[in-house]
Amino acid sequence: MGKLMVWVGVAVAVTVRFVFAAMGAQERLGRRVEIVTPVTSLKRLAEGQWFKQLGLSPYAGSAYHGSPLLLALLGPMTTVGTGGQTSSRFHSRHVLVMTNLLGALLLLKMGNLVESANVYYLGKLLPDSKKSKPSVKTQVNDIRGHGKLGLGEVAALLYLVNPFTVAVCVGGTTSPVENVLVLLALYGALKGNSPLAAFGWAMSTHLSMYPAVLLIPISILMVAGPDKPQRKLFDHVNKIKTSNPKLKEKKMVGTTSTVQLQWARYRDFLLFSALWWIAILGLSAAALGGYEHLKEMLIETYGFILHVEDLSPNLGLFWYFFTEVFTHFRDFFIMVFHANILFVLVPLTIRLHHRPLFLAYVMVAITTMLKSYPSIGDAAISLGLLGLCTPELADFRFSFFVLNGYLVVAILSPSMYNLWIWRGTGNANFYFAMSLVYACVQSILIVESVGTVIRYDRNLDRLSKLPVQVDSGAQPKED
Amino acid sequence: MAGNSSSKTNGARIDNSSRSAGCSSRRRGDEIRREAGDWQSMAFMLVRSMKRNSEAGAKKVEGLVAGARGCGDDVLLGNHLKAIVPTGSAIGQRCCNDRTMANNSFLTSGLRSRQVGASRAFVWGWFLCIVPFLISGCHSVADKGREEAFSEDLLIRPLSDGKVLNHFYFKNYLHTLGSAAHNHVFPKAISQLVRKFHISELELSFTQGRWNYERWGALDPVGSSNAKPSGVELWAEFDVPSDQVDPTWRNLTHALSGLFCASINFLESPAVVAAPSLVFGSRINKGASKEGHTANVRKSGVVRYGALPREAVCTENLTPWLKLLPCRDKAGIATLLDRPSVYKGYYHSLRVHVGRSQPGGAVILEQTLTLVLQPAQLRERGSKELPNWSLTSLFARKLEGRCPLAKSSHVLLELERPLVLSVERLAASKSEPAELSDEKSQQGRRNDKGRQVDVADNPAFHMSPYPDRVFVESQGSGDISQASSLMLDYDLQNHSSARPLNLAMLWKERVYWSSLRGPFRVSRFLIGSGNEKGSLAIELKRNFDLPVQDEVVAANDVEVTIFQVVAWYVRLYLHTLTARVDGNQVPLQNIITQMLVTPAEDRLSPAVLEVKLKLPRNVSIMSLTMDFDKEAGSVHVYTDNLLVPLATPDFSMPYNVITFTCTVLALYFGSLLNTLRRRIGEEERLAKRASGGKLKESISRFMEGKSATQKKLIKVSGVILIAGIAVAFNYALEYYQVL
Repeated sequence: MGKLMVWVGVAVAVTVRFVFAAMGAQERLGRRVEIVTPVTSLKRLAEGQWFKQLGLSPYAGSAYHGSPLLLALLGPMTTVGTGGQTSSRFHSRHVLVMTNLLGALLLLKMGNLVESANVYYLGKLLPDSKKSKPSVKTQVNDIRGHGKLGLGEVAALLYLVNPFTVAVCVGGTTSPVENVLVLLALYGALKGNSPLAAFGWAMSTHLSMYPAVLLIPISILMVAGPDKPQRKLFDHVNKIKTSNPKLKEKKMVGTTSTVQLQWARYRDFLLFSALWWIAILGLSAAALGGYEHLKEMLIETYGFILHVEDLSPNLGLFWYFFTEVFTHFRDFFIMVFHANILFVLVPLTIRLHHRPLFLAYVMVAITTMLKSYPSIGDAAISLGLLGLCTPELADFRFSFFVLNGYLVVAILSPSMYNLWIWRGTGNANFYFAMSLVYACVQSILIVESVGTVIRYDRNLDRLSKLPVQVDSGAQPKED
Repeated sequence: MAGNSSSKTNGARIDNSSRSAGCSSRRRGDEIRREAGDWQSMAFMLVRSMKRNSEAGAKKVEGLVAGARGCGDDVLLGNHLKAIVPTGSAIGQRCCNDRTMANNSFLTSGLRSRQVGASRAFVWGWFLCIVPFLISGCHSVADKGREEAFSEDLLIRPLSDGKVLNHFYFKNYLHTLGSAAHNHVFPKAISQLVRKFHISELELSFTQGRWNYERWGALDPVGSSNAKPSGVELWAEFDVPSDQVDPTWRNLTHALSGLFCASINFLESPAVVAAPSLVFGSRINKGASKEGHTANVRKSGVVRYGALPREAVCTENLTPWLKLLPCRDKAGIATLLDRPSVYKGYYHSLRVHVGRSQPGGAVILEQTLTLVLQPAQLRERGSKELPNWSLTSLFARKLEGRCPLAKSSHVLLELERPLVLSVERLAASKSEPAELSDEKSQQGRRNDKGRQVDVADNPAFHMSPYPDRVFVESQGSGDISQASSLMLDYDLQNHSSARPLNLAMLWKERVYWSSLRGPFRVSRFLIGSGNEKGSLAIELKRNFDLPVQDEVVAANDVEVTIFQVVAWYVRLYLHTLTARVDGNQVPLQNIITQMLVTPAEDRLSPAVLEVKLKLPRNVSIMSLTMDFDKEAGSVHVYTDNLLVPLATPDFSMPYNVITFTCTVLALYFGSLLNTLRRRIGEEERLAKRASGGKLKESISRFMEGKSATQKKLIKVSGVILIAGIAVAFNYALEYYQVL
């Protein structure tokens, strides 16, 4: 049943993409500023390819701002048969659909790993004796029991049929490629595959810079393994076990000695990261025709992202702010805006270090919100990762509000754009209001999911302490 | 003129065949140019006819170049010609033209003209500027040693829609730049400018209105090189190392804006300046280069081009321009420049062109003012009659003699070939076939050519006074019976305040004609709607009503160069460039022969696209090979300004935007930190705090067993300690600040 649903879901997702593409949606979607940004535009990539073919730097003309490797990969597809643009679109569309499917597959695998880890750790934390009591473990199992779908299958289907993913895939941008590399890095880290994780991380950072912050969750994943309850809960359980001679023969769980810190694996990861970076820079230099072009590449990709040079409208907060802000303060505010991503990294890591995958989701969501050129393609991957955290987020409070927020943005932002640009009856403030709504919705989603996970951990704590308190005769106060 | 003894003619003539064979590189072209408000863009094209029999031509050209060198000792003449003519072949030809005036035998040997000593005089004049020098040529040869020379001319041409074109042309020549401190006639401001900024060539124009290429013609010298886009246009070529070009340009713009009271200094920013390499640039270098290897010879990167389409042009620009003239507007032709008359015109273009005869050679300053005026005439509404005009009706002035400092001072009235043709047709309908001519040559030639029609008094119009001379341009190979354009010459030497010249033209009958149009009609437009995306289209439509003489050109491929500057904020996707011929998309490589792309950089430089196209006359001549090295002349056609509506943000409330954005960020950051700060063991710690911390416990233990006064003392000393710490901290802080 579950398998059938997955296959039906995949078939539907693929069909929808091809039907939309056959209906000529690429032309329409490829123009939407919510979908295409200056860094992910395939049209700009084609322009870069055109300059490259002329023997100029692909970054000439301030058109292309992506990686030379991506250009080498996708560039030839954009110019297949001069004049015949349909065939090139056909090819690049195939590639994008394939990357989407690969991303879904990675999410599926990751979901399976996370789910088995969940079952393992919760089983250790909440022994079978307490199964009669309402436990978190039953919540987890509920998902499988009712929907007959594994966590990975849910996440993969959520990612595949998400309208944002579909729109980005059909519209023709490079963000599916960036997304799949982020997923590859997380999958590799989860699996303990150092070269794969290093490749995914280095490549995704090379392509879009922001995944650099994922170094923290990937490191934790490599060292300490997937998401699990806090260690002190295991300490608590172990204390009970040691105090209870009946349970003494059972293995201690979650302590430093039992959770093997995979430092060797992490060392490999760092080593491979360095290797991949060298390879990436070397290949880029080869693609650009010399190491002296690497500086230009960095300026045109990272510099373009950090300096916010293109102020054309998008769903982010940067463009309008930096159009309006006085030049004198521009540098200061650029630093402040980017610092908003960096400043929360440490508190997040301290608080959620035991949940690296969730940490990765939060970081991706924050970058989605505070990117200089965000698109709904970034939302697509952050929502896909959200699917992996569904057990912990079961009692998310504002789900209706957030869902409607996304709907409002999806419907009203094109309308406002139309009013401003095409009809001329509105102005830029109309559209920027939608950007603000989008940022608000995302910030609510981020804050509330962090809060929910912290509440979940607190509940686990309480549940794990239950037997001790029962023994001592004190009842925990329910809230 | 003196040497031409065969008849009492007032000009000289070269048979046209020599031109078409030897110097077949003819000028054709269009330049398109548009700017729009903030975005500045320009399309510019040169249309070139391609030479078919290049081999035969090359030999001829060599001979002609030799001829040119032969007469190159006449510095003034030679330099002038070089300055206006791009090709070596054309130089030779024209130089020899000039020589014909003085010495006919030179023509015979040099050009192998078939009809030497033709009965009727002819001046082949593509450029109006030639004509005064044909006349003043003898003078200048005589005054060879002279350092400076000035001449003034006014060309008047009735236009087919009743308006009158007035083209003022002042030319100033300075032989050596070194002694600039002692100029007599040449303006010091310009000589200093040239010396300071090492200018090879410079052209500055202030224009208001739009040149109507369809009605006012595109092929004639005025239409082709003096029709400028509205606003200010400046281009300059420097004789400096390429790394100094930009600073020099910047300084030059500041100097010029001071000199001409205009905001030319806005062109200093590299974001609006282009560095074209195919289209603009020194005619000197192009012309002087050997064997016509012109395009390759010119140093690249030393030309800068900029335009301010919004610059308003007014008397404050005209006054400094007049100041450059030796007589200002106190004497000579410039006295006509009555401000109200000048600025009520339909088109008005003030131009300064500085050139060098050769790199480092003599400086030539050309100042032109092109005016299209509507003669004021009382007539009933809807009347189709052409309005009569005179100098007084146009300018409210009369010409009271020449500028005493000018070598020559002429007023020329040009009757275009189509007009002449119509007049002759009109005369023919009234009587027998006739040819428009002047009275004197009529007498001489009455025997060969039936009845002549007087140029000044014919069925169509009446001119007063009678011209001093008439120049005739000959037509297709040797057939002099065909109509040709006439140039009526009035020498201001013969006029004074006692005998002022008031040129007047009275129309007797409505004559219909149309000016010579360019080979292409160029239009540029935007496709798409809204403020977001769109396409820029440049359309070339062939004008099929080309006159007979252009058949040679028409049979060949036409080369068109498009020059397009697009500001960085209008992003062009160059890979979407497509070409269509007669509605069918063709591969670019089939028609594009050369393409130069300077991509835009955000906030730094505009995109410059120069595309050289080869347009087949029809499909069957597609396979024609062409000669790249031959540099042909060009007609510049500027297209209209194009207004690209850009999506603009609302700048009315920046503070709102800033506060809103910051609020959202603060909300996110604050609530996230707040969520993170809440801890799982919060309850436990709260309970612990309620029972008292370790510090409190130790304090209470310390206080145990002490007396009340001791307790008081301890408390007071504690306060004093804290106050002391605070004072010390404050002092330390001040000390640190002092440091």
